[in-house]
Amino acid sequence: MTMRMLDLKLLRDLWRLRGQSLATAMVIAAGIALHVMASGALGSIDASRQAYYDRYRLADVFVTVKRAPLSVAAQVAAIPGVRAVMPRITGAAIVDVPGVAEPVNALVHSLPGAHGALLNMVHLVRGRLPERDDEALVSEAFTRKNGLTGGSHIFAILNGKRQALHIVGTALSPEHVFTIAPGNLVNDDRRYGVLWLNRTALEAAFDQRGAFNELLLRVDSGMPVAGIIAAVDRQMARHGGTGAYARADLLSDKFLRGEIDQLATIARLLPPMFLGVGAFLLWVMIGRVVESDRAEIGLLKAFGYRNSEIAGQYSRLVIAISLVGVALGCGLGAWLGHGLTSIYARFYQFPVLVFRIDIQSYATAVALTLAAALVGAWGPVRRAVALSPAVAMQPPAPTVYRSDGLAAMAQAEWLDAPSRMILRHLLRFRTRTLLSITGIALATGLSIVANFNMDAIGKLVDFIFNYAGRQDATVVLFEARSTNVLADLSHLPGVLHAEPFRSVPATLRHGQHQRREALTGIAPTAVLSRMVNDRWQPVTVPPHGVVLSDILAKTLDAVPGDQVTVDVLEGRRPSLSLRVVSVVRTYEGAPAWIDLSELNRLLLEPPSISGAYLRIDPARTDALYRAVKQRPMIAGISFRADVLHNFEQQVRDNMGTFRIYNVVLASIMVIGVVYNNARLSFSERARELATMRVLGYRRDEVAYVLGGELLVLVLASLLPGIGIGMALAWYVAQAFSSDIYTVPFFVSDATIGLALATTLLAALGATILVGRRLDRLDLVRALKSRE
Amino acid sequence: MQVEQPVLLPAFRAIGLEKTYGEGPTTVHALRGLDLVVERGEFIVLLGPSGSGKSTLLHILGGLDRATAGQVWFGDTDITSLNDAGLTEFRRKSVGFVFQFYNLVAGLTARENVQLVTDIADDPMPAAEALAMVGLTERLDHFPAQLSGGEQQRVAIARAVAKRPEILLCDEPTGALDSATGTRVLRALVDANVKLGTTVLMVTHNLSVADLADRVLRFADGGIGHEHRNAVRRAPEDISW
Repeated sequence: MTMRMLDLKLLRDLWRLRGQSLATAMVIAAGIALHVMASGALGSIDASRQAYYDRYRLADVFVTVKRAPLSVAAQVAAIPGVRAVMPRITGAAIVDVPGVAEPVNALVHSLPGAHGALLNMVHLVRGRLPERDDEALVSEAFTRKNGLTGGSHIFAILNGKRQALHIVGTALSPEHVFTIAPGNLVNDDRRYGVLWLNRTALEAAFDQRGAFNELLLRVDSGMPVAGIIAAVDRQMARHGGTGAYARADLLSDKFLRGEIDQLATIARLLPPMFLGVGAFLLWVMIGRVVESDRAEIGLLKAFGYRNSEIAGQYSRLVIAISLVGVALGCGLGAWLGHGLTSIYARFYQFPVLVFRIDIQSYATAVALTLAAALVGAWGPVRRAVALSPAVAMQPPAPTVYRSDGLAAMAQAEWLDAPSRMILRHLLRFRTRTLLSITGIALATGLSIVANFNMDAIGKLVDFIFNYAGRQDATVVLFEARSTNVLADLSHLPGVLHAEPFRSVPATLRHGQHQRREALTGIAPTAVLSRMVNDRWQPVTVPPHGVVLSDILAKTLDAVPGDQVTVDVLEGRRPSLSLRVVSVVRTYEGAPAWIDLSELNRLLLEPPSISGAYLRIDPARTDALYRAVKQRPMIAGISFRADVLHNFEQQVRDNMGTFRIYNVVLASIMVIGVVYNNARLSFSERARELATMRVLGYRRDEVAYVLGGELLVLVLASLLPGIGIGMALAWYVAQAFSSDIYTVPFFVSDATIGLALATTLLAALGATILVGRRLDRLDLVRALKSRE
Repeated sequence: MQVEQPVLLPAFRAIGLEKTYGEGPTTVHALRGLDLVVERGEFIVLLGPSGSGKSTLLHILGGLDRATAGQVWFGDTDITSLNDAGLTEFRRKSVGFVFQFYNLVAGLTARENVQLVTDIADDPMPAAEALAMVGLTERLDHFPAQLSGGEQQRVAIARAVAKRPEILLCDEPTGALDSATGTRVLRALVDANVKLGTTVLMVTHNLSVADLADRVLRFADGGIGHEHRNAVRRAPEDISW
């Protein structure tokens, strides 16, 4: 029977406090939703990745060579720790897709199975494997984006030889989960694809009869990969090996892990913020409930209820609110997670990618929430337990205010009485005031970091496309060719200006540090693709020595004046000692630059180039497209306008949604804090506000006391909010940066303005919700009852 | 809106005043067709058991509550016809309230509680002067929590009289006080009536307080059951309770 009375009270309390309970539950729900979404998506991607890699036997180590006889593969297989090897032929190709004007870039692999073990197996989506040399498997997304079907014909320019190919099937591969052209930041499945052909078809095209140019290795589990890479490099040096690399350096896997790391950052950063604010809101709410329940608590104690029953009563209230938050959060999180995973499925090509949350994620959500809730409820519940039955049944004395210390601020002569009420109240409950300001500031910070992504990308785009890379197109040759080729490229239709570059794979070393990177030779007169310093000013390549990107300098721990060792992994493979002349800014990769003629001299080769940056006449692009398809020496071409357009489209399609979610989440936090503050303030002051109304204060004058207090809280939170936002943005920039790209730390004024507007609007909404209660203030009743 | 009081008219004229709460079988009749004239400068005590309608009348006269039927004229203004904003202006300009539980603002000192009213009054007395009237010169800068119950009630009276209201409405002002403290509070009310000419209506359960008044109204069952005039008003200090 007794339990039923308390149960009833619990339900009535929940109903009475439904507004505040809901606001608090929503804040908790937002935190839990982020946790479930991020950890669920993270788990789903990670599990799919692991399973996919295992099942389709993705290689642990990759090495590209110029040409090695198949017998060398067997020698590599003999290296201790190497479990299996698979030689194959890989090359770049330009593809001419019927109906598509521009030349499309592709990567071509020979299919596994001809020699060695079965590694990097393909997952056949539709059709069948090629049987003849003019048949090809094509990456699924590429066919979809280009409207190709089984039976379509395409033309591939393989090492300069144009060949008609019949598409017999579409496929996915664990090494191309994220299909991206080297040097790009976003994928473009329309302009970059993967082809798989029979080995015999490629042997002739790439001059690899009885040979291979890429070797895949599986190593024994637990075997350190670094030792094997060193052994492989030793064996492959004389076959033109460009340096073996581990699966972790596979571009597709790097992007995938970058995504997983980003999700982990979100999961680590955001849910605790929301749960912390949720705990604060519970603290405030339950504190008020205990205060207004004093008489009832005293009565219950006088009747003989135990402390544990009193504590249980208020703990149950807190737990009930939290569980509503968890339930809402899990539902919302699952929904968001599905949405997020379906966005991922657009970019990351898995045979199956479904959003699945393990029971542990849910369990963590419940545990985290209850922990936060009980932290919030601890103080008030202890106060309830500590009330003596006698004291509890007397009305509380008026709140004690003081006018010393900080509170003396409210003494100022020019303040009117209502303003004093506001100030004294805020200064009287300092912890609550401080935590409220913190809560609103966190929300402002959250809005800033939500929109910061767009700022950073804007900055990145501006840097990459307007400062560093101003070329309209970049042409890459199959192999380094004499500088005479530049004249040929300059005379392609529509080309206004061509700037040569030479790029060689190299290992750069300094002290203990080393990194495999491309060393790019550019002309000192270059105006299209430039090096740019910290202040975004162009830097001319020096006649001698090397210029490092800031990322590379950091990796190598090198500063201008240091000597770095550059082991070139091409041609005569010289080992060079170069002085670091300067360090320049970069947001993309970690490149190193050198003067083009200096590079050619150091390589002990006749002057040659590996490609050119072009300025083109936009009116003649179609002619250029046609010409490029006819130039056998061109291995690939990319157009700035296409890349930029694709980049911006992807950002628009995907980031926009996230931005809205983030703004909604930040608003939930502001509304939660402001609404609960307003309700609390209203409940504490209902009597005083009613008294003011009786004394002849108008509605708006009374509203000023309530609204003014909230306004002070919100205004006081804005500056700290900007600070928190900047700090969060900085942290996110660091956490989201990888060795593929650096996220610039840049927050625009517009982002700050938008965040402040979001906070102010959300606060205004919450204030209006509570302000309506002023209209229903029952003057007579408020005065009759004593608290 | 006209709330200035013409010289010749009484302070209040209530005609056929009715107030009911609720509907159907649970309807409570708080006032049943009450008629009353209150002259300017009168000190009226309202006596009667709980639920007899005296507080309801006070609330309607003070513009806190609305009559279900009937009219109340304040001078030549029908306050029963005023909307919410009109009632607010009426309270702001013409009425002072003293409550049983003081209703001071905890975050304001004694002086500031009085200023709360003088800030919005047309011709107020200085807050310190109002507090001097109730004998609280020494306690100007104390917060309510630092004052005794009687002191808090005297601050409330100072707050009510500081704007020089035409009407002072008191709901059990001594209800929560001991006798000695109550006497000081009553002294403050009588002073306001005598020295400032303020019309006072005071609800009380305390029979002996009735001797302070010009007129005593005994309420019963939603109306005035009995009414008498004191030939001589006694001083608060002469009353024992």
